[in-house]
Amino acid sequence: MIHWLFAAATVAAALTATFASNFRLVILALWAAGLAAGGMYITLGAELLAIVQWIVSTLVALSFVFFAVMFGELSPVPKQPVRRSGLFVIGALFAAVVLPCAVWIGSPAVPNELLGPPSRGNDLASLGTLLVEEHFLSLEILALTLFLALVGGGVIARPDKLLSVARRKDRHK
Amino acid sequence: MILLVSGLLGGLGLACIVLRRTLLGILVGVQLLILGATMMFVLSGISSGARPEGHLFGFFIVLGAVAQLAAGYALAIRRFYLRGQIDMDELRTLKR
Repeated sequence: MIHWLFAAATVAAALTATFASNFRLVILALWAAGLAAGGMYITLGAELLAIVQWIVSTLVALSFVFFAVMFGELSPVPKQPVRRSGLFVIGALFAAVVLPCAVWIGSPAVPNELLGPPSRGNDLASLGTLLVEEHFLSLEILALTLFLALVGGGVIARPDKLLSVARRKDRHK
Repeated sequence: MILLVSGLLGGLGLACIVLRRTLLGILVGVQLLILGATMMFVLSGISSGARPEGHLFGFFIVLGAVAQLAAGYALAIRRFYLRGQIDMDELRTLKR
């Protein structure tokens, strides 16, 4: 039953993150959604995933704060309206309604007796064995993806030498 | 019924992507979408009887989201460096 409380907290936080205009509140709500989702995973018997979700959510929220400060998103007076209007609002509401309905209609129901930690076969040892024996290639691909994202991010965000020289010349003029 | 929660998270993430103007706002939406997808895998694993596989795929998705976020931040830095803003409305090219 407690997973319904966590589910309600997750949805409430996600609603706040979607529709709030204050970016501080958006970041806080995103963090709360991640923490509440981790709580749901705990009640469903996915302890490893819950801990990973909590760590990742906290680091993601911290990085959002850092980048929001850097880009001026947390300034008291916003430069432009954060939200859109008209057709975009209708499209967003359509997306927010149609996807859950499609999931609800198209998915099989999860029996209530299965919603909870299983009595056996759910320890970290069996998860680790499964990871190494059956999904080792996926783990390697994930590691390579993270490495490429790190290196690629550095390459994309590097300072442009030509642009820096041009700006310096403009400043001197 | 509980799968509706993951669908709602995904739908709200999509709505956030459509509604927000800035790249950071869009990244928040993508995070919500990925949160919904992770939850969907966990719940689908439970309902199909393959509980550990659901957990593992959720684990992969969460870490994949970190890679996506790193790439998004890099794009935001590039955009901010070139244009001095991260508004996505007028984004046509990342070159000068």
